[in-house]
Amino acid sequence: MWISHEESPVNAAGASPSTALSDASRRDPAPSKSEPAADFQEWGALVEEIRQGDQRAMEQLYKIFAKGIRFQLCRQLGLQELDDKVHDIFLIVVQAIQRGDLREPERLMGFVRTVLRRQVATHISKLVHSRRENVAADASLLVSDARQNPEESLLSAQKVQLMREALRGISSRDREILTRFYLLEQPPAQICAEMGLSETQFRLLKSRAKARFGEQGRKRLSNTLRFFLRRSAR
Amino acid sequence: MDGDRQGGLALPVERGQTMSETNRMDGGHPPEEVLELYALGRLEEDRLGPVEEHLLVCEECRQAIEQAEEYARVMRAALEADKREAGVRSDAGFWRRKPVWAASVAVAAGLAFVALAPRVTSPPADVPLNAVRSNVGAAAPADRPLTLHPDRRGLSAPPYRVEIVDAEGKTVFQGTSEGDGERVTVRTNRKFPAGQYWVRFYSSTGELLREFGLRTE
Repeated sequence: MWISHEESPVNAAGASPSTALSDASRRDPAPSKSEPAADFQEWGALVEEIRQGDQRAMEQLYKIFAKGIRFQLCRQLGLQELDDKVHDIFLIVVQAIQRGDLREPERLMGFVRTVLRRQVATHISKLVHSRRENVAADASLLVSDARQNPEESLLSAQKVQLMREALRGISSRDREILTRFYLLEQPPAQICAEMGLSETQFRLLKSRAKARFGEQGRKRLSNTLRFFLRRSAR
Repeated sequence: MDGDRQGGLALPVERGQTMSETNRMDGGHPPEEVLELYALGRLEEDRLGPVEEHLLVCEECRQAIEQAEEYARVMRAALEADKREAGVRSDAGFWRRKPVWAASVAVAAGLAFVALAPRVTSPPADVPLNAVRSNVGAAAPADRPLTLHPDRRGLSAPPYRVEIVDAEGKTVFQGTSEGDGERVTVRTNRKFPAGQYWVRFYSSTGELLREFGLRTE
């Protein structure tokens, strides 16, 4: 389970959310690799502890959600000021809990998601407004460079080459199915209907293509290893 | 992504589709197909909630999303590259598959070239010819028509009969000079392959007046 009651005793000393956040940030925030969703009772306990100002509960909340919030913020807004945005969301969530705004503790995940979405929407809205109002004031708008570095470009090109080699081994019909799904972005239902496929066949085809790509990568890796072993043996 | 995620899962449904329900969680995780659609930004709005809530707390599914994104990106790039290559091959294959077309077009192009040749050929190259002893000859570009400008000091008045012979003494051009006074030219309407030539000027009575060396390269 994602939270242990031994780890989160209620702390009567009402810590501020920002203190708890900075403490949590200093420690390793990584939770276990895969945290199944908590059951409602545990969410309820955590929320109750936060309401009472328990610093460790706030740290626990941060540990649980920080990575997930970062992940979604990064996907939607990019890397700019990511840490600040994560902290903002955490503070909003904790303050809302302490004010009693979260009436159904079992909906904690949904609540965090809602706050996150609102923050994303607000940020985008501000950006749009800022661009509209300050066209000339370009100094305030800094955009991060999302281009790949040379190593990433090389790795990417190698992956594409591997994929092309993998695709050479499949029939033109299978290739058409993959093209429709990945390149033309057709819905699976449409592809199945037009290509005379069952749902299972479609899923298996994609899995096989993925496996072939993986196999091609393993082959290439073993060839490379053999090459280096031969060289080092000389 | 884990292969065992796929067991017993229904196909993902996109907007407007009528396929079976796929929001079922497999051991607490969304199905791989649902994660893939989410990664591709093609999961419909009303199905985002449970997936995004789960992603808030599940590192394994976040990694699965990143892998699915990368896989789709590589797949798209590979398919696009193959498509471009196939397009190029197809353009080239048009001529292989259509020998009659190819032959017709080649013949037409040949006829057009012959008909238009005098107009489209390169302009003549100007070559000054000097009658200096031990001079191996004027240099001129090969395979181009030439306009010769001989040094006619000490020669009788034009016109001249002009003959060009190759290194073996074989006549490769015969013509008459143009112009008078100091401005005498000889226009050759043929091209000369790279080699050594001799340009001979004759008087109207057939007397050899002078011989110039000419080298084309």
